[in-house]
Amino acid sequence: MSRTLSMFSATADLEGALTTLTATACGLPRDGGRLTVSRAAELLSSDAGHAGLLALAERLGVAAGELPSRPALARMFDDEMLSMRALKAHRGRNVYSAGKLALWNALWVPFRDQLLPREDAIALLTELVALRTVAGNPDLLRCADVLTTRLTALGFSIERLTREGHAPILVARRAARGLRGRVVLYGHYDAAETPATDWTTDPWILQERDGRFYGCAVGDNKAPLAVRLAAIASMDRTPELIWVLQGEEECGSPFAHAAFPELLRGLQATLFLEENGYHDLDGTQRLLARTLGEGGASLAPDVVLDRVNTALSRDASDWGLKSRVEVRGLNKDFFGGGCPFNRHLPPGSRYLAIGVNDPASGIHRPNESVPTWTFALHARQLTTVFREVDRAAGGSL
Amino acid sequence: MLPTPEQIRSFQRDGFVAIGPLVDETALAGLRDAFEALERRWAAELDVTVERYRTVVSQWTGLWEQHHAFAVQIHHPAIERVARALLGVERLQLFHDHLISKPPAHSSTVPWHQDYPFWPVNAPRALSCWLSLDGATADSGALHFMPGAHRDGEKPPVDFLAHNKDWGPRAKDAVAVPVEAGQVIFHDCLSWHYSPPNHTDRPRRAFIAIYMDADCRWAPAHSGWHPMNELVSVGPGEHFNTDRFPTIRRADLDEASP
Repeated sequence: MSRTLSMFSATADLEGALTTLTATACGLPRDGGRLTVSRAAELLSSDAGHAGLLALAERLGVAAGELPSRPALARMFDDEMLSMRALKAHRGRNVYSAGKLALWNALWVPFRDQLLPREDAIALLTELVALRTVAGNPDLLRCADVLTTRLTALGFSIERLTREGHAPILVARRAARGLRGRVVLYGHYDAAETPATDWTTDPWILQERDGRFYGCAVGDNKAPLAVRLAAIASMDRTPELIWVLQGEEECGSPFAHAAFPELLRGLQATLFLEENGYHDLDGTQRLLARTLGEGGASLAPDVVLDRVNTALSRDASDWGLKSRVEVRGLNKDFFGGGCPFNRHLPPGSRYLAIGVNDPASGIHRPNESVPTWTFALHARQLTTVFREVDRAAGGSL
Repeated sequence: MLPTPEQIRSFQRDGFVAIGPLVDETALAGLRDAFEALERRWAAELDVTVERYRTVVSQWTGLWEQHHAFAVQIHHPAIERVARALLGVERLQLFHDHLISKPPAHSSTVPWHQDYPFWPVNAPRALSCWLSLDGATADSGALHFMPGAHRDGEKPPVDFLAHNKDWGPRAKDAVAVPVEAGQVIFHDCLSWHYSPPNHTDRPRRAFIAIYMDADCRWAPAHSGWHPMNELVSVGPGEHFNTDRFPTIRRADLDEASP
């Protein structure tokens, strides 16, 4: 998805934008491939499609008056398709992509900021992917420093847990800003190494193509870090936040397994937020929600988590997506002992996993990727989680 | 006709020069009639009215292959002599022709740009001959130039949808070049030019023949993409195939068209 329309890639830019917009407005599966202009025209110029567009505008706070009427939109699509036919038939065209520009300005510009990843999130993800945070690489410490700097700039105080020969664990704390409750976020900044020769592009350079970001560790766990940092930077109000970030998840988390039992037990969070989460290929969101039982058992969500899930389902619906609740934790049993976050959460904890991945993300494999459309939704859902935590902590439930 | 020494100096100094009228009213009327006949045919082929067609489709290439009048026009003797003299070459070859229309109420700005960075041609030994079919004034979309900017050399291609060059204090040097119908603006392929929308109720059509030194070679690596590449049947570094990139007859040497 592009932020700008370029004459050098105008058709791809426009089709990418129309695909995202149409899928969101009309609830199309996200794995349907890129829509052509003519297919987008059929969908958005129909009564149902145009109504979907207006409804999406209302959900996302876009002024409906900014959007073309159905006949005007149909005419704009007709103009562009006439230009495309003229090019094919007799080398005539709408000079300098004027028809594409008109559609771009009328349809994509009003929604662009709501549906695209934030530019600061992309910039941070670019920086994080460029750090080769595999076991034994000095970039692990550099990445911890980058995150420390970013979090400090957002008002977090950083406790750096260290142990000789291990990547540091960062425990970032920020007092509440206008909302009640406490959310503990988990994440990790290390990457699972895959042979660079098996990649089609440089794994340490973030690449965007066909609606996905590619790069080593984007799905596990750098994209959620970038999206969440950028989202929190944009929020006026948050509950108390504690963000636990370790650097050894991809080598069995020896330091975290030692440190987390005591650390997590003392945090008493209103909600524990997992490092990431998944959508199905068609976009359906998996809401992994559970209450921790004895021995790490997954129990049904309590009334607070139910409210959170309901609110998150509404967000997904606003994006034209279905959602479903699954009572379990994120599957991360890559190492004996499992994930230290999942394993050491104290009984009674509320656990939620939502994020930016889908089954094509291919974590720990060459050409790891994440869909770009999930970024804006995840940022919004982070706001929703914080709002619901505030309600829960206020005793309104 | 040959350009005067002052016209040659002006072209070399400024990167453009307007000369003429070089095409008389009868020939111009023939070109306009030919184009309007093509428009009617094209509109019918696409099953739309010509009025609707004109509001949408505004640029065409390869007219010389589609109508005899334009096939004759690309060999216009006076234009050929002037163009060859200004380029200082022995023989011209057509890179391509095109016609750009800025109909009333349906046109937009073409931002500041150079032409050559977009072309798959190995050297900037080329110029455009911008023949006005209707006349062009400052408010009907006349070409504007930045005199002398071609001497700054080739710059990266401009993205017409995303950028317009900021000239800073130099902007005051930009000049509009209004022309009468039949006049031709010869501009260097490295000249910087732009055109505003047509704010009048008159048509503003220009037939542009782009001539290069016939010794130029196809260089697809020079530009990212160009529609003319589809018509090339030679290899990179070779002379362009003359069936789709015709050599221009020299008025002083060659026989007239059969």
